[in-house]
Amino acid sequence: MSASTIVSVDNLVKRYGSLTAVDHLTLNIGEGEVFGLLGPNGSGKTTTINCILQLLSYDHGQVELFGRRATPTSYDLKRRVGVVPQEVAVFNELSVRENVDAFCALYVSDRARRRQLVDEAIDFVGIGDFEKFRPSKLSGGLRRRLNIACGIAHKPELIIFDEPTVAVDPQSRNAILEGIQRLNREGATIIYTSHYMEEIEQICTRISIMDAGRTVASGTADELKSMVGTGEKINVGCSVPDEATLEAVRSLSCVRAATYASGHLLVECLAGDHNLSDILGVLRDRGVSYGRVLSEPPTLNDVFLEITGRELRDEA
Amino acid sequence: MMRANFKATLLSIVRSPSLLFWPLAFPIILSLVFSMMFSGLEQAYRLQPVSVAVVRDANYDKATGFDELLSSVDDDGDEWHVFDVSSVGSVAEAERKVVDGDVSGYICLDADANPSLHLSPRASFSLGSGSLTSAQSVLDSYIRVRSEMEDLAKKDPMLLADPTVLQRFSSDAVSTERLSVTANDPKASVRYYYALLGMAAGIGSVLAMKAIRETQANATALGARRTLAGFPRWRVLVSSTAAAWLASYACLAVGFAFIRFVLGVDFGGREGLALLALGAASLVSSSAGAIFGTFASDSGSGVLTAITCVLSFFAGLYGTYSQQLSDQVAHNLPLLAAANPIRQISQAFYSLMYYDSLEPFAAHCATLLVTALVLGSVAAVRMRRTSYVNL
Repeated sequence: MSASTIVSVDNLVKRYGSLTAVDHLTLNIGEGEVFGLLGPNGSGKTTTINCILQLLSYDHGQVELFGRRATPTSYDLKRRVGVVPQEVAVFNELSVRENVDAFCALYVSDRARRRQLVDEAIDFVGIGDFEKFRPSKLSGGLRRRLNIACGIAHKPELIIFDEPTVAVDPQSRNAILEGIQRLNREGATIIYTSHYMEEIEQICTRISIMDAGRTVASGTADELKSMVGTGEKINVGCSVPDEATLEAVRSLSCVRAATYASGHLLVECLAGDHNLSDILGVLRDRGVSYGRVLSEPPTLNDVFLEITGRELRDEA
Repeated sequence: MMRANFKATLLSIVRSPSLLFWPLAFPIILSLVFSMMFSGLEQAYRLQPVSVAVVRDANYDKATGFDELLSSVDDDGDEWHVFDVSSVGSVAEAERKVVDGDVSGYICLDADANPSLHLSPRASFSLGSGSLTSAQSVLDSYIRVRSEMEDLAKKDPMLLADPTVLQRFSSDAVSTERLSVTANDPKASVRYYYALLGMAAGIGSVLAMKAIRETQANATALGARRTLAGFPRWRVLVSSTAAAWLASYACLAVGFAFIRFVLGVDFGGREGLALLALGAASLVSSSAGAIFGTFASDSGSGVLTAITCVLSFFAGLYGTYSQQLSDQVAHNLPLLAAANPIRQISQAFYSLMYYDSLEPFAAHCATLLVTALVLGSVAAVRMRRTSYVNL
């Protein structure tokens, strides 16, 4: 984490009647970070973001942006923040260019400066060929990119992306993620929420997993993986092992489950330093010949499911 | 910033055909309907000369002064041009002219020299009731005057030798004088058009509702995004409301221009002041629309339309009964009538049309502005929120 704190949330509590949506949440986001906010549906991610943005009032706690207490009328702070909401929130009746200009004008008064910023934002997201189009004439991916352009045109120092890649094709998703990384390289601090673990893992320098309004784990992707008991998944191409060999593998202390199918022994491991050598040792000792061996380290998805549980979540 | 937001809001309104349709088309469509409805009414009261054949037979020769009477109402340039007279020798000839369509009817006199008017069925339908009544009145007045002269001759024959008495009978002097107490002649239909413009203003409130909804974080995602603006909230709200007002005013002005210049509805020659009243009217409707735009629910346009319809009823839009009720409310409950902006709009035009003084007009406009101020204040309190308990 870099020296200066851009976002500081201290002991934040937000209640909706008897439901506590955010429960004494504390988090700090440093300058230059790409901070991932993960959590199942209803975990309080969007509520937290809306509280940071001062759109929602809260019952307790304090939010600071750029080292100053944020209030609903902290317009000078708001000018330094950009938001890309989950829903494409633009004027349907305005063209791409008119939209970007209209949103940029919410932060920048000077027309000449705005013209330049609008040009840059349109170039940045690559929608220059469509600047006279209305949103309804754009594909889903292009609309998402317009949504981003509207949020970043005023060159904010802090940009909040709330699930910006929902329902976009892989090419557009890739372009969006690369764009976010570019914005970060150019100096913007990013808060990124998503349900796509691989995206979070790909772009976030630090991740916070929320559940029931609280932070249940926080750290880099590797730190999070090391916090949980899940180890790698090992795939061994081998001849058919007898039942005793399979049992011997299963009985290893580092093995959570082992199955054989179509010439492959699939072993799910717990966290451990010598999992692969232990398993291959059993096979060797029992005379099972093996060829290709693949070891997949645990993913963020594994970590997420282990931390937040596997039961289905539905938002109220 | 305000200019950019004003432009964005205005463009988003004018590029929404479904939103603009009713505020723009409603006054035009309904005024056309009114125009068709009232054309028969206006026609009925317009004096058209009745073309008649006059049977100049022996009875005609006996009718003292009848020839002079017909001459006096057969003058093209006269205000009382009641008959277009052609002469025939017999009833049969007159009937033939009627059948041939050369005249609408004929006048013949009986043995007592009393004239009677015979009209073809077609003429009875095609001529307005005003024309027919006038034609009959001319003949009735002849019979009455002649009868008076005959009575006078029986009582004091010497009086008939007095030229001043005869002059009084033959002159067209009348005992009553026609005076206009209003700046312009009363026209029954104009009140409907004035109330219609009031209703059109009410319908235009949906424009402000849309404009404000799109600034409210609790109503739309776009509103949430715009609530995060880096400038004081009032700038977004004022520029958005101003754009909605301008769009609403433009719609009303188009409707007014159509009613005034295409349909020829009279506004007492005070079109400039009428435009001023429309400005105040759209200010009230924009303020009301702005209030409804602050609600999270999307049912505002239905509620606004319903309120507009009810208020239009009490502004006299829906016929004679509605107008009577409107007048009764104004007479017995003046504060309630003043609180009905559609009635105030209608009455502002009414004042322009019928009063020499501009005082009543100014009073109605002032009432509209106060209403706009009250509604606008309520809207401002609700609109200015930047932080919500719920989204």
